[in-house]
Amino acid sequence: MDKLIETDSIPKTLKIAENQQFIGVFNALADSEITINKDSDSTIIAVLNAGWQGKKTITFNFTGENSTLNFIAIIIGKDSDSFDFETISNHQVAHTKGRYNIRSAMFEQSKIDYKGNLIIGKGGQQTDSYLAHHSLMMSPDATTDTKPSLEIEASDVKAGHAATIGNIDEDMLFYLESRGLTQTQSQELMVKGFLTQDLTQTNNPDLEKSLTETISHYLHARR
Amino acid sequence: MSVPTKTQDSLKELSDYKFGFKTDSKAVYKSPKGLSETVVREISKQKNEPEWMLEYRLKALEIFNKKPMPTWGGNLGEINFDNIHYYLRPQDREKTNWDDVPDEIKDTFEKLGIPEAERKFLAGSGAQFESEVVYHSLHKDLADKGVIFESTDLALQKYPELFRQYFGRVIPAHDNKFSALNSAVWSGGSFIYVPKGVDVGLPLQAYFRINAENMGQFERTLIIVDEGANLHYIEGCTAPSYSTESLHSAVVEIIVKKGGRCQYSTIQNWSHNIYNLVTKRAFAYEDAEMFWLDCNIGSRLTMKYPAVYLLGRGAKGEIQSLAFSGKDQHQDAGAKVIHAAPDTTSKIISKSISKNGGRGTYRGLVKVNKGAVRVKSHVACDALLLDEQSRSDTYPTNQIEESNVSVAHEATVAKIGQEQLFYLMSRGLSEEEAASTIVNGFAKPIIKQFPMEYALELNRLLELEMTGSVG
Repeated sequence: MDKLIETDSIPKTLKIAENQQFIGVFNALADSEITINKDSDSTIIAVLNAGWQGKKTITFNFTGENSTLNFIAIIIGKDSDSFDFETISNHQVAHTKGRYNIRSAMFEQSKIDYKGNLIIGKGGQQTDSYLAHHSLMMSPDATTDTKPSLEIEASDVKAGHAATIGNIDEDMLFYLESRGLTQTQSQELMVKGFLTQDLTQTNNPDLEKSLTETISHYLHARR
Repeated sequence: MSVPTKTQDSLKELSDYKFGFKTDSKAVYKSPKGLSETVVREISKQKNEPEWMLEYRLKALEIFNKKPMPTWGGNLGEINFDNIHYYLRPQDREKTNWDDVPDEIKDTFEKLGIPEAERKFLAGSGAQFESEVVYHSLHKDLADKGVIFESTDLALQKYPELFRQYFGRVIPAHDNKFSALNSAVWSGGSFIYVPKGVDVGLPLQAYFRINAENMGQFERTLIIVDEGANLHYIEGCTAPSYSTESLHSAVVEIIVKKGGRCQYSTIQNWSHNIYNLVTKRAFAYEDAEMFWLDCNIGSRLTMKYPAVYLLGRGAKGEIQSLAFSGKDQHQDAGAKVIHAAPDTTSKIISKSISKNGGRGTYRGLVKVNKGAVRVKSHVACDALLLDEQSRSDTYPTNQIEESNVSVAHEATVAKIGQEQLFYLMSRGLSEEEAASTIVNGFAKPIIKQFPMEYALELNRLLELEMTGSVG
């Protein structure tokens, strides 16, 4: 692996160089411009345990062919935290691939307001881009507002998005409880499983393990 | 590849736009171009309306003038409100006998196949020419059961109390700029009341025709489906092709009471010089069901988002739409569902096909209010892009304020697969036929929901629009 950054916040500008393999893990978002050059492969992971004021916008500009981006955001909303952000992906060159997976578990009065826009311009032939936001509503006072968007001007593309909003399956919860787990333990286990699902895509078991532990710790600290 | 004769024929037919003919019809009254208080007063006077309606119109005009033009959606910048006739009365009064309709108007509708359709499979029909409904009829047995099916103008005269109780309740004038415009200058449209428990077995149909140039058509439809009643209403529309723009801005209000069901089907096939800016909304109460089936093929720009407000426990809303955007066309269509009560469910299916530089946009909203528990909602949007000049957008919004819900949204954009084309061609189809077959297959789940006669016509229209194109 070329580079592994672990900083507090995603930087204001980030350039992924030609042929670079990049993995970055961040604990906060900022208004940020990310440039993705050709033949690169990057994974950007944001684990967000605290809200912020106002809106943050992250722009991904694909400037070179054969580049791949894997963006994962994991959000744990608590109290009256607000998570207001937008991702804009500009696929203006051919043969680029983007995967955007946003998972949020919203407790108490927390609120997520997410907009994810995939823009594929005329030059973006053979783009393969997919965005998904899955949100768990852990409290009747929580709010999820999600706007996945597509703007497509190239004909030969694969593009899609999905959003689901719901709560924990009662049957699964019942099953875990019948095996001797307390309600809190069962819930925690299910939320953890939900939030960490996309981490296998990093193909990096060490990273997956350490991030799962972090998330587990955050959920545990909520008790 | 040489063009088959069959295709040449249909291409010729397409370049004509089957419905593009115009009728030489002399208007009984035509308001001067432009919008003013005088015009609004004159419309109200011509219709001999009660004072409250004139006041309502004038207030709406004030709201229209104050509201800014929407900056989202399609390009509305080229609409010149001063170059439009807001009211055009084609005959002295509405007829219930087809033979009494003036010949040239009758000819128009004969060519469109309206009277034939009525004889064959409709429970009643209405025909609107320019600003006024020229003809209305309803099967006698339905009239005997208390079903009301009138032009909205006539309903105001005949059922003033029922009318006032519901008019403007679902879509107030201040809802948006174009609902304000409609409220100020509305004319024509259908008024339907289905009494408790009555099932209107066959569909009722209204057909809208704009014939004059620089014309604005502002029909106003109000439908009340009482408890346990059932209605299927179909509307169709066409216009001649002119080089200048005409405006169609309708308001459709629907109330479905406890246990009632209403299906509203639209086949929009305006000529390509029409701005189609429509507000459609339904209130569905306890265990009621509202179904919008919306098919947009024509117009230059359509902005239309049929909405269902689920206001009672167990209410159900469904919106299925199909949009076709060709050269210089923008179909900005979608759906809105507001879940305001527990145990409500909704389903939205949207399909769009863009080709030849056309632009198809899905714009939608699913909102779950606080307290609306056990809500289930599913949205699926599919778009097919047929060439590099075309564009497809998807802008859904999901606002969820309750935890015990299940809401899902999915969207895909794709082109016609080379493997699919290859497979069909290996079976002996030409490339064109193969592409057309795939498009028809894509649109079929929506089209098959229409009554057979309409489904056949829609299939034929799509085939026409597809000729000369290869994915």
